[in-house]
Amino acid sequence: MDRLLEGDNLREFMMAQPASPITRAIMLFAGAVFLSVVLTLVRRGRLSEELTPLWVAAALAVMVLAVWFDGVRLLARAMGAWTATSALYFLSVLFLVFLCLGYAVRLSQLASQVRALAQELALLRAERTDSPPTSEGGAR
Amino acid sequence: MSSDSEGCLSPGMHRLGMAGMASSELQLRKPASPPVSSATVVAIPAFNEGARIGAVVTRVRQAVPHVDVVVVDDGSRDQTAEQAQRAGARCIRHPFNLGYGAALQTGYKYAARRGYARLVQLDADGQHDPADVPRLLARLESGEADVAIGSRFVNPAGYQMSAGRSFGRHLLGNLLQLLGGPRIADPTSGFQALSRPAFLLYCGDFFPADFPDIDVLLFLHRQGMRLAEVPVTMAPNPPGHRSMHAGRRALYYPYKMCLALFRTVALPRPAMYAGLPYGPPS
Repeated sequence: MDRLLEGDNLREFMMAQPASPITRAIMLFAGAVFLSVVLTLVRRGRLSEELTPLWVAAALAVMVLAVWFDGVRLLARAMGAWTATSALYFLSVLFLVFLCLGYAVRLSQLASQVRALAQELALLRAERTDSPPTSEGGAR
Repeated sequence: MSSDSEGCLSPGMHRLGMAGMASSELQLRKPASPPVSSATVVAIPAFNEGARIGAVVTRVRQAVPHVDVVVVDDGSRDQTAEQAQRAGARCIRHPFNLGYGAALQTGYKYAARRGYARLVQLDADGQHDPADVPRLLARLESGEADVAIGSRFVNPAGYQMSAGRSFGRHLLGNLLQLLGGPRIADPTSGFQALSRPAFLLYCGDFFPADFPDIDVLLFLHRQGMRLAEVPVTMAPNPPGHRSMHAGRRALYYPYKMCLALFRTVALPRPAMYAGLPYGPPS
């Protein structure tokens, strides 16, 4: 037991633990539900196709890793993680952080476009009732 | 696009080349530059200034009767637009509040497409004295400068600033110089006169919607525009006035300004001229 608690042995022990069938079933189910929700939103026109590739890829990745759990272990070993779940957790958080950043970029772009359109609307409205610069104004 | 569907679009949209474009690829094509007159416009961004804007417009018209006055109502919920029009100003109304910088930029865009040669910007709260406008314009007309900044501190008599704001002003002034900008005693002054080449540059996408300050001055300087300061008198902030550098924004402002300065210094050329109504300066 003492030898088991030494660093590398403990890591190997934890990494070798089989994934519980229930955990894998939940992963598979969650991935499938998520994918069907994405497809339903697209079908109803509430989510544009342009924004779906990441979500579809995420759902498929969860389902693939549920079936092929060794893939998670491979990733964990490559990253130097202690457990497969911590590697999965880290990658999920990283994915979400970059996704949020992507949306922040998109929001900034939309805010800039809304500003330009609102200004354009205001200027066009003013133009309808406006006259050219006064001749007095040209006196300077 | 069929003639039927074209009939649904306003003439302005045709002029801007928006017809026939999908919303996802909405791009305002460059219209031809209008004939430039020698006229001057005073642009006043205003947000919920119904109580004061009428008096400000009247004072401007008395001080400089030969210039046009346009008030950009930034989505006010009070009678700002009506009071401004009653006092004799033209009014451009944002459909909703876009921010002080965006309201200023609407003024620049208005002046750009109407062919004005010069633009004077002043605040709607009555802090800036319209009697100083001719002196600001004189600096442009003499050809000495492209931007004349009305400064409270060239002749510092009269205006009192809190210690915190005074420290911030010095810091910004020094930062501007450190980044290669000119020495400006009052870098946060919103009382400015701009020549056409200068306000055309401000029509671009880079112009901030919230607080345009030393970042945009540095931008103009780096574009070869000549900046000069003119001593002006400024009244203290009126009671109930909400400064754009006060409250929670006082914390956000220095951070935002550092980032905006970094952006100005590192701005790639395409971003520099993105959104300019008549393309990059020749």
